[in-house]
Amino acid sequence: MQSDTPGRRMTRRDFVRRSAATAVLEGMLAAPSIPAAAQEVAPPGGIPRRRIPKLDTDVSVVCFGSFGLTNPAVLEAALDAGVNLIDTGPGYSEGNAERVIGQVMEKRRDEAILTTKFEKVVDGITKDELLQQLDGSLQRLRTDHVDIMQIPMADSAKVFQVPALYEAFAEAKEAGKVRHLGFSAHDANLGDCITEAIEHDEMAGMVIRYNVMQPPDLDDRLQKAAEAKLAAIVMKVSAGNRDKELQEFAREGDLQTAAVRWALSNPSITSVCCGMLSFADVEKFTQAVQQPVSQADLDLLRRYRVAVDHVYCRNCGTCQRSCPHGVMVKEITRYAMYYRYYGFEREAMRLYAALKPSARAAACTACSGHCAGACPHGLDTPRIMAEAHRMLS
Amino acid sequence: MRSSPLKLLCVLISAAAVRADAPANAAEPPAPIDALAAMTTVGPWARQAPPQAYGQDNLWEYIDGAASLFVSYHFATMATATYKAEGVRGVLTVDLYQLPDDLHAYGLYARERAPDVTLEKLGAQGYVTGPACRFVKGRYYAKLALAPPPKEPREHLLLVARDLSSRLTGSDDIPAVLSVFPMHRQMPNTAVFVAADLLGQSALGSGFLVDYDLGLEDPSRVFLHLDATEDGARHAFDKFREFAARRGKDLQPLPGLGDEAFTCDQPYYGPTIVVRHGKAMGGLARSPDTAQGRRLLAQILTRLAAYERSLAHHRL
Repeated sequence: MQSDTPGRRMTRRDFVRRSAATAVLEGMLAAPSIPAAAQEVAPPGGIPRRRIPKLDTDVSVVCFGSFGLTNPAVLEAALDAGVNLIDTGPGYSEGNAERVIGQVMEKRRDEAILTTKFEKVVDGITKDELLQQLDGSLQRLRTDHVDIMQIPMADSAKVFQVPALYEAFAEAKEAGKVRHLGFSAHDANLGDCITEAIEHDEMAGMVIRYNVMQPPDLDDRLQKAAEAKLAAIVMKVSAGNRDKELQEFAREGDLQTAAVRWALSNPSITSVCCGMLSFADVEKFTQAVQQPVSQADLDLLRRYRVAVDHVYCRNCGTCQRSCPHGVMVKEITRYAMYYRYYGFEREAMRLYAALKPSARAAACTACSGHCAGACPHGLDTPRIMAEAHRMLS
Repeated sequence: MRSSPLKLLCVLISAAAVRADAPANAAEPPAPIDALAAMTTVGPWARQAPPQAYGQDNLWEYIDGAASLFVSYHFATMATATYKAEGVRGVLTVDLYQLPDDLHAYGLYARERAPDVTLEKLGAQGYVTGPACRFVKGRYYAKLALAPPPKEPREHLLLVARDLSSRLTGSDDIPAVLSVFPMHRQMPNTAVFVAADLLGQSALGSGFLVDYDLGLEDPSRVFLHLDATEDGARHAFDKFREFAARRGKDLQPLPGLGDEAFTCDQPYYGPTIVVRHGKAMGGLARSPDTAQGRRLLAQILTRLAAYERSLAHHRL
């Protein structure tokens, strides 16, 4: 997030120079290890498969990510290529992704393990409302059952304790409409969610964010989950959204496929969810996973991690919690990013102006810096705030 | 080098928008967060807290994996706020997205529109379905939802949606470019604008998909990519032909349609006609027979030419 000159957008030259400057840091970052190969079935010339223990089924290590799907032919091509795990949700294009998948499931349901999500699981929701949500998905998917029905956007252990969830599951399972439960989550309280899910035998899997920027203790939790027979399907393995700044990397290799292979080098991971909207995507990802992660992949990812480490906010909120003035550090960091990286200067300034005066970083100019050193990832929060205030005011 | 089809579409749509709604577009469109900040009460509905804004990098925090679709449409920013009415069950959530232009706003809206909805007089187009209401207006796409739903959510949703619509600047018409697709046999609510990977083909980029009932069990699907240059359209056409030759069979030239055309049998769509004319490249997948498909495509090319002439005339 830091900038040499406040208010000036990072150029490619800046970026390269910064990357060189952080080469020292690169040496300090350990390369991800390549553990012993996960127990997997590898049909000759095909996509390797790993087990979802509670389904007693082997699934392809690449999962068909369906957000934005408009073309059933792309899913058919993926099934033909050996992909047999599909992840979707009623929120993907308001059910239209499920509808497109349904056009294929009507003919090829027995070729796939299908996971989708409830629309919402909140305190006070009733069993009937959840069953209605499930029925809606089944109707759109043109199938009589899904293999894993997930709690969407799980962000605390509480959501696993909604009684209606288990009542609805028991009834749906009895009716043959669902085989197991699961959950999807990003970062918020992910550790708690995994710990809680392990306690529920109904839970067969989770769809979670996993990439090179995440804290190493996540791997320990994933290992515990694997030991508890909770399958991990991971998404967003390419961290960040800084394509403009990363043209240099594009010349050296494909970050996406390197990240997919890297993720699969973790034996606790069952499958990597890859958005496949085109035939080219299907070819790219199904071929990529037939090779193990290489040293070149690791080098590329390590350089990427170094390049974005000092600007990559994990949204953990530690900085914000440390501020006695109530400065909205997370939001301001994001607005500064809009300004600098995405070119939304006016929008960023307007968003900043819309914050309550006490929540802006003006307070930082006279503050001794309670947030200094608070960031567990080493971001220089006081400097980021001071620069953001100058830039956005 | 290929030029961006997005640029061409932006030019087309901007021109169309100017023609359709010049006074409204002259005003600076309010940012979503400003629009919702100003909407403190609507009838019995009162906002519960200041609206929150999200951008491309953190929308997933709000809508999980669905964020990817919004990012692919280059949404600029969105804001969300919740409202409560005394004596009415449920919380009303209003999400307002701002897109780079009218076509992307319509495209995103249409991607989320179920085929069986009944359209309302709301913005450029909108509908209520169960406890949810959606509408598009100019560069905005609005989503309203009541949860848990009261007994009769419709009137509540329309009340708030219409109020919100009145606060937004922009055209009250859907993008005029959609008029190139004949309505005869067009299946309701199937005309969409896809921001990338049209028909699963990366080389095509953005474009339109429209389903027609041409008497087959499954719908026949028109696809149309409008490139900024003829070279770009030729490149897309060649790439598609390569794909058809590799994956399909019976590839045959089809003289007399557009500048160049061919027919083929695709593995997932069956008989398909592909055509390029000038900067346009498209076709009909799952064509019932060559003559019928050809007629429909010729009609679309004629309408496209008329549409472009009207834009050129307007620019004069």
